[in-house]
Amino acid sequence: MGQSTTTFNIDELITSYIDNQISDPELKSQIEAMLSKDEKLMRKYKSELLTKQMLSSKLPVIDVPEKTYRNVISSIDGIIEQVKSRSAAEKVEYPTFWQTIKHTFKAPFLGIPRYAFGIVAVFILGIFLIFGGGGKKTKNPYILAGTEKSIMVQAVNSFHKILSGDVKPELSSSNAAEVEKYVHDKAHFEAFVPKIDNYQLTGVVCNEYNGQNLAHLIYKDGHDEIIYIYQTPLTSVQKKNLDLPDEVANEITKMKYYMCDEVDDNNCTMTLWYKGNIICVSMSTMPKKDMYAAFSSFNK
Amino acid sequence: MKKNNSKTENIIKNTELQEPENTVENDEFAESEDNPLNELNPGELKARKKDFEKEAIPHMKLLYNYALRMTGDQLEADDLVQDTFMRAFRFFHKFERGTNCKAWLFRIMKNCYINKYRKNKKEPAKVDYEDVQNFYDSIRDDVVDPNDLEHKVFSNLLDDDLMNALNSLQDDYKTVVILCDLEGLSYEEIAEFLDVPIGTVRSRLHRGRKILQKKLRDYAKSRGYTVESQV
Repeated sequence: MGQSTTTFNIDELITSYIDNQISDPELKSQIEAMLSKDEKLMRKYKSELLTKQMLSSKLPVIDVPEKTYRNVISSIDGIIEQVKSRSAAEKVEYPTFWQTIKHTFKAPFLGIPRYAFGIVAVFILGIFLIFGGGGKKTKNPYILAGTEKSIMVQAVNSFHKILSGDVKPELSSSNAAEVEKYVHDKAHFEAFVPKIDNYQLTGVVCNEYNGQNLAHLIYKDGHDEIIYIYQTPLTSVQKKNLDLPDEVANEITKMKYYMCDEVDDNNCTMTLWYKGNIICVSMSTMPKKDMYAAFSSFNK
Repeated sequence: MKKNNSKTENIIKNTELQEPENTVENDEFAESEDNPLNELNPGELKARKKDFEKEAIPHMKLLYNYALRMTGDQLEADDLVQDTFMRAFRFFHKFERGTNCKAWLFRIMKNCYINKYRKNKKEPAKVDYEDVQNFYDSIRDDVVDPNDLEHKVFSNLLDDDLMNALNSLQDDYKTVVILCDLEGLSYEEIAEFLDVPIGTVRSRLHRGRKILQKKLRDYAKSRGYTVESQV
């Protein structure tokens, strides 16, 4: 403090004095003497002190809101989960495969060269992948890490069942009011049944999962392309009957929707949003850009 | 006294005032394709989280309050805090144990704020410190003892007025005012946070408060209070 006092502005010394940042007792006494002699300086001192006190009293330090704290912790957990699932996937796909091949070629087994078993294994694996054993791959980390309870995973699975014809509408109708009443009677919540340009409502299915009522709306265009909307009350997440990743929930709160593509092998697009007390999840084979245009139009 | 002031002001003027940073180049904590966490196994990840919760999470209050006052918006403050901690967790291997974790986190937040949040904000109009100083001197010459009256007038201002006045400061001034007057940090700590000399902290603080005083007087005037005429 003392080394450069000669170049100090006296006003700035007063600032240091107000903040109790002057450790040199001699300098402190000098300032106090100046203040007692110089009225103008004293007024400046009081005025600056008042500003400092006003700031600390009118804008006090506040505690971190619980929600902010939880968001930070769950974001960190989310990163960890992503890294874990990625490294688990890498371990399964690459090292095991190459180690198996290498081992296959090393020694005979029961008098038959091991590569023969390898060829058979590759053949079987190929058949498995071609005829449905490969599953629906996704690049979305939340779907990748999601369990059966995940709303996102459920929407993808239900959409595939509708596409394959395994699930058909319980009520076939293009009448929105009729569909709304059906959901009200069967699932006991008010469904959101939008009008979607170039698509026609074809029907609805209701079911229950983990004590939670769900509704599935199906729309088709003239080429049998489908927009599917999964719906469930928000309470399903609050009661933890169903899962919605915190990051996705935050994004919906912030942006009013969450949209992702490359949801499965067909590069389907998924959109999540809240409509009143309902969580809606749409699935479509439309590219993200087109889905955004459709979504903006029907979710006004 | 006045003579000394003008001599020393020139020295300060030449050395202290800088243009505010528009972006932080080579931000070592910026988001990138390579995630250093990918190199960790599950056990190491778990250990890092535990370590992070012990070292970094306790400083969330300071960072949240700084974010809230800098952005002036609770949602943006939430996002800024979240971004900061995500980056800090990702780059926690760069934090040197035993050093000041609070200052390390603060630097991440500052970079994050400059590069991501301030881009969308309009920089406050620059206030000429000379004008503020002259304004202050002139009103003081006219009055007998305005401190009590000033106290009454300022006390009647709305919290929003104070928030607006704070938001009107340039970021460099606002930062030191927040850290010193709201968060109660010492000059030494602020200097470490900002990586600037203590003299710069003092100078910015003094100027920041002066500009605030003028702003508050303007608000008081616009609400019908006039310190000078009432004396």
